Amino acid sequence: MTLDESVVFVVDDEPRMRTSLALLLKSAGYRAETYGSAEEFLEGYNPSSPGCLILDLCMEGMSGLDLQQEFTLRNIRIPHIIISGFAEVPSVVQAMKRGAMDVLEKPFRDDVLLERVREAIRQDAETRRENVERAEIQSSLERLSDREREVMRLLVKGKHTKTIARELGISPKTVHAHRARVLEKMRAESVVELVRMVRTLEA
Amino acid sequence: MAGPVLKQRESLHGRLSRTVGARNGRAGTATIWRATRSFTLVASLGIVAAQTLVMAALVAGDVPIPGLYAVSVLAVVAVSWLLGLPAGLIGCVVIVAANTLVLGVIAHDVPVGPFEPIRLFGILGLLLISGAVGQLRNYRDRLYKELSDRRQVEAMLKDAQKELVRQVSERTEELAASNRLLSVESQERRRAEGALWALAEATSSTVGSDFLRSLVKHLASAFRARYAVIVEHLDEPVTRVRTLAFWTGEHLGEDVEYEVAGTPCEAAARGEFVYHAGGVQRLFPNDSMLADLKVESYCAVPLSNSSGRILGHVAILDEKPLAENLCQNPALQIFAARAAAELERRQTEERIAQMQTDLARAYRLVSMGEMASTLAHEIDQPLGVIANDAQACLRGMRSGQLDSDETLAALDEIASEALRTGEIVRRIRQFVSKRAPQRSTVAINELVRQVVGLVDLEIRRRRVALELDLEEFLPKSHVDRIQIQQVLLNLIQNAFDAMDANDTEGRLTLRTRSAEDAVWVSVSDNGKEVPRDQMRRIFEPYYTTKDDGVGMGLSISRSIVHWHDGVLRARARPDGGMTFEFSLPLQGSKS
Repeated sequence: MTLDESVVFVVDDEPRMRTSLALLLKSAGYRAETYGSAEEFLEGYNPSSPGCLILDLCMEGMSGLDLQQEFTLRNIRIPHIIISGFAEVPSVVQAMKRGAMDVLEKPFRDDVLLERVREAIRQDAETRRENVERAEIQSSLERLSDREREVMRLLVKGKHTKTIARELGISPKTVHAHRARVLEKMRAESVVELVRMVRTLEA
Repeated sequence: MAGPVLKQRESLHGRLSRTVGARNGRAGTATIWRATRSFTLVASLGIVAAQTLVMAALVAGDVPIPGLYAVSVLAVVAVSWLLGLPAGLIGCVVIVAANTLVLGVIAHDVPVGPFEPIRLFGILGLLLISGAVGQLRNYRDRLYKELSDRRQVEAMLKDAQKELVRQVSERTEELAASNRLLSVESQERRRAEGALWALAEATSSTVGSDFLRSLVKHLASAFRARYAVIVEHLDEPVTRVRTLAFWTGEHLGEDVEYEVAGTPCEAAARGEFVYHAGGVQRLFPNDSMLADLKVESYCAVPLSNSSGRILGHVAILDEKPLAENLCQNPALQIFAARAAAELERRQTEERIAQMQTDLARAYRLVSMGEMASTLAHEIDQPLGVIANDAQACLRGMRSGQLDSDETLAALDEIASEALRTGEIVRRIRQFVSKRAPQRSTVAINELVRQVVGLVDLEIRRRRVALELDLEEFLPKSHVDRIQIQQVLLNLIQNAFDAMDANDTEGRLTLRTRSAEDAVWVSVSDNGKEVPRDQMRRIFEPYYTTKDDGVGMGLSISRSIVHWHDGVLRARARPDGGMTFEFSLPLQGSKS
């Protein structure tokens, strides 16, 4: 299960808040890692480790919003939940625009936070799985010959064998053979699955 | 009293001078006369003796006639002189007869004829002599009479003089007695005047409670009464009063509050002039204070303000009956008026102080409102921790994910965070509470740190660099903690606003320093400076340079600092920004 490997990162400059959040997460069975500032987090964070982030909006030095900006720059896509003592509307809007999953005002109900954490971890896992899948599709795709890739491009456009044969100037029988090889190389059961793969890739 | 004596003396003098004046022309004659009188007496005696000798010689036989005549003439002169004119005339007759008898009868040899020319001539001569002498005698008698008159007058004059002297001495005695009386009176008067002067002097330079205390002391002394008291009415209609100053004869008494019912103050409280010359304890048997103080007499004058409202009264009480109705005494009325003015001034002052306290509180509420989000965060923070910890405990106990040490630590944390929250709430409530200012001994550095605690978050949010430059071993000050916190908070918020107006990174410096008799607290920023022409106006009420400012912060701050006998001033810093600093008197430097 994802729970075993996922880490919930906590970034808050208030030590007592950090400890209590860590404890809450631990009581709910999560593994928590705490950081006292955004800078510390950037330094210690390994993007390959799965998990999510609970981020304090208002901090000395780099604020939550600043860190979000840094994520964009560094292409870090960690799902994060913003917590804030006094969430002023412009900051909340800003935070949401910059990709926060949610903004929670302190104090908050544990089930709301944990629900968001679960959701975030799920999202993270999803993203990571998609990433893996995309990588697999990509590598499969690279094994296709040019003609096969050509056939596949037309297949996923929903064109029939005959149309493809006419467009490519080859016999329908050859198209059929290419189609079988594409499906095999792409480890797809059907053209429908092939379409999903391409969509995944394009996402 | 001197009148009759003097008049008598005058009339005597008049008579005397008239008498003397009438006789002045004959003064020489009188002197000659007095000289000749004794001579005449001796001569008369000689005549009689000579006559007797002549008689004897005649009888013996050898008589010179001319001697006889001479003796006769002398005898006539003597008789006329001594016994007067008629006696002289008779004497003449007798002598002539005797001579005739002696010469004719006894001597025989002398031819005697009554009408003999020589004899006639002799008789006529005798008569003339007798007449002249008699006339002289009459004249002498008149003079005598005049003299005796004069003597009488002189005696009368002497008597009158004596009487005068007696009366004068009597009068002098009287005058001396009355002088003595007067001097006692004037001494008494001087003493009373002195007491009044002392009263006026002692009360002229004092104000406030000092004035009232000084007044009762000197009132008692001026009116020679044991007690004097000034009483303030506490409600309307008056049921309770409070003494503001109470002279007990030797010292100032403790101020007390009491019900007026059943006391002589009841009438005074209604605004009446009250005077009980004596027996006041019998009139008010339920007033135990009168009995305790052995009060016998009571006199009170109401004190009313300029609009005629009765604010209190001044009463003079004594252990003995009062000699006069002091209510009518102008001095008491004057000082009562002065005390009334003082009472009015006190009440006005109290009202102003109350208004200022209310205003300061209102402003604290305003600044609290401005800080609301910061403060809310201050509270949210521990509440968040508590919520997290509690929820973690619940969850951990249900799921077994937390061991008991972790749970215990979390519970511990919950308790301390809850207390911390309570402390913050208490601090806020205290800050906005409606209360009379109260001085206590305060360590100013600690107070500065508390205020920093309040604005800490704001400082971080604004990314202001804070420098605390607090003097070590700063002497303690005697101030109202909340009000000084308010001043400091005001100055810090002003600094924030000034730094907002500048783009440079904010630097806030809080500094404490001790001077000879005060502690100085300063708040410096590197924000926008106050233009020189506005420097003087910034402490005025409702003067503001901020768009959303009320203009009360510095005005209230200054009145708070003044209330603490300190000063609040502003100056531009040489390297930009402003410094606001205020002084607070050291503990014990002001009673």
